[in-house]
Amino acid sequence: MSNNLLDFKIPENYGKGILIIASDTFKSFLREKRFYISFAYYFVLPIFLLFLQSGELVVQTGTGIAIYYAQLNTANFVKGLFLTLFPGQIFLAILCSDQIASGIENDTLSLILSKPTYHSEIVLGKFFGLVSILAILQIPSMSFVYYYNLIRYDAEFPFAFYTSFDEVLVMFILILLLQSIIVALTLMISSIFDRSLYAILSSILSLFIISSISDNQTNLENGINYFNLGDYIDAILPTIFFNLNKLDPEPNIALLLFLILFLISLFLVFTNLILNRKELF
Amino acid sequence: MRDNAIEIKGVSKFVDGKPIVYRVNLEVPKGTLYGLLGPNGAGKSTTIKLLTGRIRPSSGEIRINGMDPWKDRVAVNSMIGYLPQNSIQYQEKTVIDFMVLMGKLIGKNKYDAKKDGRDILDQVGLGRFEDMKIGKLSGGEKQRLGFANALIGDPDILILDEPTASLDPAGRVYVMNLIKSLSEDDSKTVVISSHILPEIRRMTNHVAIMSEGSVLTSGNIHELTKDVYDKEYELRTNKPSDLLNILLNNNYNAYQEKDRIFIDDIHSLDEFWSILPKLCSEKDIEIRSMIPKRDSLETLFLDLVNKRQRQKEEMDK
Repeated sequence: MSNNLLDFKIPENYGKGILIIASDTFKSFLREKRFYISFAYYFVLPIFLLFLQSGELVVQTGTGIAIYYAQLNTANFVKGLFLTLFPGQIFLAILCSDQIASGIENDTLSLILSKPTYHSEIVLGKFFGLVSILAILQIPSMSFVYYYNLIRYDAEFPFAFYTSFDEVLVMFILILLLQSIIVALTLMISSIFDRSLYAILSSILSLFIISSISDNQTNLENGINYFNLGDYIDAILPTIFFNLNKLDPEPNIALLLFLILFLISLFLVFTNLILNRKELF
Repeated sequence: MRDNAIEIKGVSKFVDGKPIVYRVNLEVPKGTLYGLLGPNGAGKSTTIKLLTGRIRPSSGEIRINGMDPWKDRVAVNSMIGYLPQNSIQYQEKTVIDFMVLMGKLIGKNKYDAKKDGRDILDQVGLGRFEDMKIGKLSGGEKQRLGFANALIGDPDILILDEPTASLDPAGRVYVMNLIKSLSEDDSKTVVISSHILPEIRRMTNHVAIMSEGSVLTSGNIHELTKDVYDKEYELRTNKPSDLLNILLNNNYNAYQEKDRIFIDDIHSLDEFWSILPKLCSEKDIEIRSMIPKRDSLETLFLDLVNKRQRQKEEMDK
């Protein structure tokens, strides 16, 4: 056996299991009641938000300034969608956090591991399966945001249509990436526990702790709190799509993406390490 | 001499400082049907989990076709089929979907996984349930499905933890015959754990008797039991009362139950067989059958377990 790390090779047939487990996780969720409860929640939430919004009515004049206000309000809307209403994150935790723990509890993980499957394939498969489910859950909210712009600001069809679509698409990706951090975190917590109830409760508790830490962070020198993802959403959306530097300070999109990907990778690597060393009694 | 499919050398497993399995040595030759026999808590399931790489040994070495199941788990699992003790808990999945998922995990494409899955379901008698949700199956049907899962990919080694545990009598016979039929293929090695002695006797040709985490003896059943005789026999005769009187008069510890006579504590079978015909011919008694009250494997098992118990009690004193 070679000790040279450079000799490391990706095993033959590695990766097939990721797709199989992701697709199985996705299909299994579509059969579960909690998915439909979550779907209803995400569908109803934007309608509630609409009534809670205190955004000013902007009359479409065809000038840049009117569009700017419209987009700014939408950014706030998304922030509200994802961060202000904490129950959404709790739903995420409930959806994701028992994935591995319940597999240990009811021996289904043992069955998957009895086939030639790597732990990392299971972790990545579950992760991508859950992210796909979250993508579906976002569709009602995102559709609502999309039409919200059209209806609320009475924008003329071709122009408002395209700008809104771009914005909604990137909001969709951004929110999905942010939620993926929670998925990865809850998967990690799930791999620590052998009972799904403990995993769910711990995930919810950790979300509360993270939320409270991020809200209490003092702003850094340029005014952005890099620990508070809400600040990013507030600042980024108008900047990246409309080149409007009205919001100070200018956010660092590369840093945001790096932070998101770093956190996701970190949690997934830890999940894999925990699972690798775990004994299934 | 056959190569060994499985080798366990001095393996112990401690949980919270307590030995669950202690210094186990086993050699399972290729192509054998090997039974792990022992009472509940003997360490059979732990040994099975060690073999399948679910848990790591605290000390010792395990080799399956030369590979360590903990370190080379993926490679080892490509050679083995495993039936866990607990039934399958994929409640919402249909039987065929489950088989396709497991088939795909061993590298088959969807079409082949479905085709092979159906063949195996027919083989274990679950063909008509393929579209049923697993949650709706009975305990016995789930057990058969677990068995079907173990057969996917036609693995060289099958490791079955209590394969007949939740089956009804007809299901037990069906599964036992199925396991027995696997012995026709010389390349297949089957390891079965069970606490039901007649089933081990019926299904396997090699056995390891376990108690309190240790292997008391192991090897070919015929070899192990060739010098084992029961001291208790059941006799059937045309004149049970007369035979009972003869035996009691000759200081044998005998008793009658309906038309059968039972004798305890025959220390020398040779002596017994030299006396009995003479005594019977005098009274015109016809001995129709004389069979040991227990199977020789059961006798061996009880002797070893009791001996182990006594040793433990002496050590505790």
